[in-house]
Amino acid sequence: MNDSSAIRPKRVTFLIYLLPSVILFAFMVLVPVILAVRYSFFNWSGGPKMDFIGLENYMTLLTDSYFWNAFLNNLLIVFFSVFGQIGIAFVISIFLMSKVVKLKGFHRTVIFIPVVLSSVVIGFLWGMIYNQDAGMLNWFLQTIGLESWIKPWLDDPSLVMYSVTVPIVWQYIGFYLIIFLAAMQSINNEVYEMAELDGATGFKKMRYITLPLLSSTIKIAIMLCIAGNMKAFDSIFVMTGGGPGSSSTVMAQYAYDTSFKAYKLGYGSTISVGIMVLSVGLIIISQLFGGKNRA
Amino acid sequence: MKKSYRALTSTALVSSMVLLAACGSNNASEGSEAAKPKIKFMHMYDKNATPPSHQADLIENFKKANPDVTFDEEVQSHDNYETKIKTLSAANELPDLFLVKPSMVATFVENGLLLPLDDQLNKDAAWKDGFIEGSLDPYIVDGKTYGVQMSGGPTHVIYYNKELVANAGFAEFPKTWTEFETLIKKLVEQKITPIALGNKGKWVANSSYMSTLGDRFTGTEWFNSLVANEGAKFTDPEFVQALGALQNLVKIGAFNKDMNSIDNNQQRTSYYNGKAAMFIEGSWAANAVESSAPKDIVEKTGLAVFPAIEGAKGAQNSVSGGGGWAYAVNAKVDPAKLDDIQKLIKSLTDSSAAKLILEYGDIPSSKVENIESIELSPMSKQLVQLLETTKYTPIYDTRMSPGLTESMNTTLQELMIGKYTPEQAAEAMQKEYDKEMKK
Repeated sequence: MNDSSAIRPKRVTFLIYLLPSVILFAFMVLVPVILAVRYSFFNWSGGPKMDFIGLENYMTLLTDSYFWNAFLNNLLIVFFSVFGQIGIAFVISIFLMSKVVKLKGFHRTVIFIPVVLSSVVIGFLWGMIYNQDAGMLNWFLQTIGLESWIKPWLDDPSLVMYSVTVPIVWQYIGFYLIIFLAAMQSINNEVYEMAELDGATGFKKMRYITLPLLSSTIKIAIMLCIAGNMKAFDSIFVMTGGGPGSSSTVMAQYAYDTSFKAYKLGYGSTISVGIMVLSVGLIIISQLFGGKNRA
Repeated sequence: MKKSYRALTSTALVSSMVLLAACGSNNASEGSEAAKPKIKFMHMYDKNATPPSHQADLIENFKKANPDVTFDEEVQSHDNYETKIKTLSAANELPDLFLVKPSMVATFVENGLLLPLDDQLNKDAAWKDGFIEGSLDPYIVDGKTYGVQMSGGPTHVIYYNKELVANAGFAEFPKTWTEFETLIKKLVEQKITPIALGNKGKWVANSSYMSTLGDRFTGTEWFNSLVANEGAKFTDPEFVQALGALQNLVKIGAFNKDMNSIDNNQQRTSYYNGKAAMFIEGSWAANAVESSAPKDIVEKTGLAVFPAIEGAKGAQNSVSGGGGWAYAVNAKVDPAKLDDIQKLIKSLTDSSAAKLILEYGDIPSSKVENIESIELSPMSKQLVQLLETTKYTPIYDTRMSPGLTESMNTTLQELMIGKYTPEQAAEAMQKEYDKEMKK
């Protein structure tokens, strides 16, 4: 692998090829972020009138119980998603790799389908499943004689967060499944053969070979999972609209409501910046923990 | 085979070129004819929509009658419209003529986006005097009128199933609040949902319940003083009592258990299939009941408003209503267009337009003479009769600022799930109110 100057493109050519993506990225990601940071210093309700108020919005944010309640809701989703999505996907992918399971392609497709569906559709679908009178869930409970378990799934404030998390977990299992399958298939078969000769079977094979070799993939999966769930919004919005009260409001919805329903675009931007800071912080923390494991 | 295919392609090509050419010439002629500048007009009345709307009809009529006035029209669906108009206002790129809600008016005016329409209204006394008293009030800021509305019925009407109410022992709709609560308890005993409620959108409880119920307890002066920041508070005992009355309805089982996860369209469903004895929504639902409910339910449906509350301070026959979408004009509009814009708004809102609006089953904001001569559906007739005995009071969520409305909507839901006591809910609203007034 010698760096031969003959095939290596010039710096300029390199930059020119990169330029279109850099420009796109700048306009679609960087500029909005910078604008949001700018707006967050203003008392602004849309239109030309903007009052500069410095850090006041941030002071409000720090003591805004609705925001922190929404943050806790996001944390709950992240927690269940890391264990639910990644955990379940990992287990299923191990099954799909083993020789026992038949019709692998079929299983893979079925599990992957929800990923392709729009979150709004998922929201409507699960809204119908949870429906009090006509919903599948209550019907099922009634059929198997567990009438006492029937609950207003989306209307009980102490229950609603768990109810809305289930569809989110369900939706993205397929996504991580594909990632894990790809990673597992790239593990050299000889490694397993060697292990089998040394007497490692079934569970031991997973514990001592698959898991360590997948650790970097898992780390990336966890990062994606945190980033994705800190901005969770659409399916919950469709199912409950953030209610009852504010018990299923997540940060992204709080930012949306504040900006476009309450017309406080300045404070809404502050909330968005808050979401960004918290998400990045959480990802860094998770990576630090991941790093320790590896060492 | 090959030949015919080639012939087909060439015909297609030629015809498309002719079409293109036709289009081109058409455009050119239009361009030269239009000496007047085009009016940029954004609204939500699709002429091909089902059910059709009176405003779409009126706009088409205006176009036919005034071929010299040209439009640059943009039609959005209701929800998209609201998002788009807010976005355009934030970018300061509003069209010449558009629709606003009363709650937007103050913010828009503050940002200098709206043109006062008093001069236009004063030019035409017949038009101005044709409006029902108070129907332009929601659009007045500092004495200037910024919006002209076409229709605005009550946001609170109780649609009730006469048979189910009679079965519960009430030959006619209860006259007092105590009787109303008794009726609810009776219905609960009979395992019928007394009132179907779908408050997922959070505005239903505020707009269709609290605006009327609150006024019964506090009187309208309280609200006017609150909006003008002249001393009234959410924590005033009368308003807390109103919150208590609403919470008490939940406590005695007036609503279905899934009231916070279904929306206002779904709330009608359980009424339609006879599982619920009542539902409460604005006059707009009358049309929906007539077109979607089974025939026997339509026949059994009676209309009412909240009964009188014993010992309460406000007028006991009032109902929240009158404010809805209204036409507004961009402050930066080209003065050359103003006359045409005035003509257009007038044709959409005056008393001859009102007649058509009434025929469509909506409540117009201009007066209509000889209502008897117009053929009305039975439900609209009932509605008109009901409104003859009542008086409009402000709709909370269209008159208060968007921020306060949003906070109130959420707080009401928290109250109804029992997270807040009436006192705590009032304090939460007051806290948001103080924050807004401080600015």
